[in-house]
Amino acid sequence: MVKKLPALVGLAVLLVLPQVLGAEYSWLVLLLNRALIFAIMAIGLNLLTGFAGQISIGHAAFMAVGAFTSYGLGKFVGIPFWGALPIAGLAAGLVGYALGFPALRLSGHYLAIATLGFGVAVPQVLNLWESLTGGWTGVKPAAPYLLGISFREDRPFYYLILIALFIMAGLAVNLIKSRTGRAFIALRDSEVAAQAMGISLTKYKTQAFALSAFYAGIGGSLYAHMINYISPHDFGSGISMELFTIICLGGLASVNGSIVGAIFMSFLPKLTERISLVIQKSGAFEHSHFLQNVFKNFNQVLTGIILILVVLYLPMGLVDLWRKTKNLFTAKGVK
Amino acid sequence: MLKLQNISASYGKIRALDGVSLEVPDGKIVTLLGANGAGKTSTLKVITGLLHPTGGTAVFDGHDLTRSATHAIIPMGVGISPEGRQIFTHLTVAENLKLGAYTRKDGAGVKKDFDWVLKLFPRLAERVNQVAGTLSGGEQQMLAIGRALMARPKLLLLDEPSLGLAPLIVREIFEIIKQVNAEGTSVLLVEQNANLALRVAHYAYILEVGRLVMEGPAAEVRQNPEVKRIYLGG
Amino acid sequence: MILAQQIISGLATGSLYALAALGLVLIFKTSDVVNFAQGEMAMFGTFVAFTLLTSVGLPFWGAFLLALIFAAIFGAGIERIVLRPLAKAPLISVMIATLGLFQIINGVAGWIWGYELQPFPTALSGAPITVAGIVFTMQNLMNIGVAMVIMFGFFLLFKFSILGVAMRAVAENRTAAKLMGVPTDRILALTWGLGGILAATAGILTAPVTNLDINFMATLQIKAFTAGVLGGFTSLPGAVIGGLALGVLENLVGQWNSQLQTPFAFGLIVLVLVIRPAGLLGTIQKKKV
Repeated sequence: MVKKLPALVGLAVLLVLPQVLGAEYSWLVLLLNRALIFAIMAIGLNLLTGFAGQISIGHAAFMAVGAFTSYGLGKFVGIPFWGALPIAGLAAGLVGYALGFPALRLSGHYLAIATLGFGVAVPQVLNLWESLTGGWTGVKPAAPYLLGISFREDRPFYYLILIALFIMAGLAVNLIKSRTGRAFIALRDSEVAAQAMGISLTKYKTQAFALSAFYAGIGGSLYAHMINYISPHDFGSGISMELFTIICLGGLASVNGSIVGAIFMSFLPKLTERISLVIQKSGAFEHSHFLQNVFKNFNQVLTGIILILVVLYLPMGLVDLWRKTKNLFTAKGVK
Repeated sequence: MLKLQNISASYGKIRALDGVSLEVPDGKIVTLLGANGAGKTSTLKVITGLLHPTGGTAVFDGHDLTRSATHAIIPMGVGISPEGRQIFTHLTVAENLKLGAYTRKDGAGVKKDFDWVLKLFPRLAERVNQVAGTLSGGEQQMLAIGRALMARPKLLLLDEPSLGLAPLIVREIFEIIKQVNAEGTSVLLVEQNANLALRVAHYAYILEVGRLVMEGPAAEVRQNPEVKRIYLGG
Repeated sequence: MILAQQIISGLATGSLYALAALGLVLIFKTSDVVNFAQGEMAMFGTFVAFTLLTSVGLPFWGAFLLALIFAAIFGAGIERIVLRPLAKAPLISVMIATLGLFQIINGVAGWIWGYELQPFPTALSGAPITVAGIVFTMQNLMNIGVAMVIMFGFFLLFKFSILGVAMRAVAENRTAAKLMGVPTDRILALTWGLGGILAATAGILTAPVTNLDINFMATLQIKAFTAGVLGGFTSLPGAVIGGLALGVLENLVGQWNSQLQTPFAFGLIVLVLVIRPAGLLGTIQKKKV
C-alpha cells in the first residue's frame, strides 16, 4: 500500500483538479487533456520500446491513423464517437501489426530507420487522400455527445480521458505481468536467447507493434475529438519525437514514467511561453532579432538538450530520480 | 625490461588478478602458463593498458604502464599478437603489416622491417596483396606476429600463438620466435600449450585463478612433478 | 533520348544522395552509430556558407572551402563532446543522443538564421549546354563534378594513405587497432570530421535548387538513408552506387507522380530491408551472442 502511495496521491490530485480550478484555468485543463492523451500513447510506445526493445521513432503515424479513422467513421459512416474510438484503435493496431512483419527482419539501427521513414511517409500519403483528410486544409471532427452531456467542454472531456488512461494503464500493467509481458522482456534482452527458449519472435514482435499502435490509435481518436481540428501534417516527426522523448525522460519500461514524462513535456512549452512573456515585457525583444528567434523555437532545443542529458546522466528516466531520492531518505532514516 | 609487482585487477566486481608479480629480463623469453580463465590474457591487458590495475606497479623500460593509454604504450617498444590473432580481415596482408608500424616515424626503417618480416614468413610474402581474411589459420598467426614485429618492439607479447593450429605449423612458428629472440627481442609468451612453451622459454610463471602459484627457470619447472601432472599430461 | 535525359538528371541528383549517404555510412562503419543528426549538420554547414557568401561577400569557392573547414571541426567536435562520453553506452542511448542533437542543431540554426526560405546563390551561371541531344544544366554539371572530385579524393585517402588504413582498421576492430598504437579516439574524431565535410558538400550543392531554410535537408536525409540501405549500410562504394541508383529511379518515378517520391523512398527502404537487408554490396554483420 505504501509503495503505491505516490501513485494514489497523484490519482487523487488528477481527479479533483478540474473541480478545484476556476474558469480562468481552462487552458490548464486543455493542456492536461493533451498531456493525458499523450500519456496513453506513451504507455503504448513504452510497451514496444521499453519492454519489447523495438525502436520506433515514427509513432505519430499510428496516431494519425486513429485520428482520421475516427473522424471518417463519424462523418461518412455515421458511427458516433463511442463506437468510433475502439474501431480507430483497432485500425491503428492493424496497421501496426502489418508493420510488425517487415520489422521482424530488422533490429536496432535498421528498425529505427524504417520506422523513421514510416513516420514521414504516412502523413504524406494521408495528405494526398484529400477526401478523408482534407489535405493541407484539414478537417473538423465533432465533439462526442452522451446522455445529454456534451463533451465539447474541456472539463467533461477531461474525465473521459482520465477514465481512458486508467483503463489503458491498467491494461498495460496487467500485460506486463502476463506471459506476453515476460515474452516482450525476453525479446528485448536477447532475441537469440528468447528464441532458444521457444518464444516465437514473429508472434511477439508483431503483437508488440500492434498493441503500441492500438494505444496510439486510441490517443489519436481522443485527440481528434477533443481538439476538433486535425490535418495530416499535425502528425509529423515533431509528435513522434515528443513521444520518444517522453518515454526516455520518464523512464523506459515504466508506466508511471510515461505519465510523468507526458505531463512534463506537455507543460514545458507553457513554461517557455511564460519566460518568453516576461522577456517580452522587459522589451528585450525589440532590441534583439536573435532573442525573438530563440523563443520561437525554444522547446525544440530544450527537447534535444533533455534527451542528451537524460542519456548521459539519467538513463533510467525521471522515475529513477524519484527512486534515488526516496532511497536517500529511507537509507538515512527519518529526516 | 618489464617488471610487474603485486598487480591486482578486476573487471567490475570480478577479481581477475591478485598480487601477480613477474619480470621479463632483457633479451629473454619468459612464458606465462595456466588454464583457461587463469588470468593470462588479463595480465597482457594490464601491460598494454587495456586494463587498469587496482593495485601494484608495472614498469616497462622505465615507464609506468598503469597510467598510460594503449596508444602511448605501443611506441615505448611493445608489440603484441593478441588473443585470437585479431588480424584485420578486410585489409590486405601488406596493409596489416604497415598498420603494425603505425607509431613509427622512420619510413626507411619501416620499409626494411617490412622486407625482413616477409623473409621471416615466406608464406606471407607469397600473399602480400591478398585480403587477410582469406588466409589459413597458421598464416593468420604468422601475420599477427609479423604485424607485431613491424613495431620493432623491444618486448614482444604473444597470446596463445599455438591455439587451433596444426603441430607442424606451431613448430615453425616457435622456431621463428626463437630466431626473433636471438636477434635481441625480449618475449613474453602466454600459452596453454605448456610443453612447447617450456621448451622454448628461459623462465616460466604459472597462474591459477588470478594468482601466481609457481615460477622458476623453465627447465626446472618442466621437471616439477605437479606441473607434469597438471599441465604436461603426466 | 528522353530516357537518357532522365538518367543524366537522375545521376546529378543521385550524386548528392551519394555524398550524403557516404557520410552516413562512413560514420556507421567506424563508430557503429547511425547519425540521425547528419542532415542537420549539413544544413548548419550550408548556412555557414550562405552567411559567408551573402553577409561577408566571399566568392563562391572561398566560402565553400571555409564552410567545409567549419563542417569538419563541427563534426569532430560533436564526436568529442557528445559521442565520446557515450562510448560504452548501449545502442539505444547513442541513437537517442543523435536524435537529441538533431533537435538542438535544427533549433539553434533557427535562432541564428531565422525561419524563412531563402534563395541560395548559384556558383555557375550560364546557359545549359547540349551534348548528343542531352541537356546539361550548369547545376547538373557542378553537382556531378564536385561530387566526383570529393568522392575521388576521399577514395584516395581511404584506400592508399596510412590514415585510411587506420580508419578501416578502427572500423573493423577497435581494440586490435588500439593494440597497434592507433589513437582510436583521434581517428574517430577524424571520421566524424570527414562525415561533416561530405554532409556539408551535399547541402551546399542542394541548396541552390531547393532554396535554403532550416528544414531543407530533411527530405535529403531520408533519401540518404534509403541510398545507404540500398547500397548496403556497411559498404562505402555501396553508398555511392545506392545514391546514384536512387537518383535515377526516383527521377523515373517522379515522371509519373512527383508527390510520391518520399513514400517511394520509404517503400524502397522497407523492400530492401525485407528482401535483402545487406543491400547491393553490404554484408550482414553477425551478432555475437
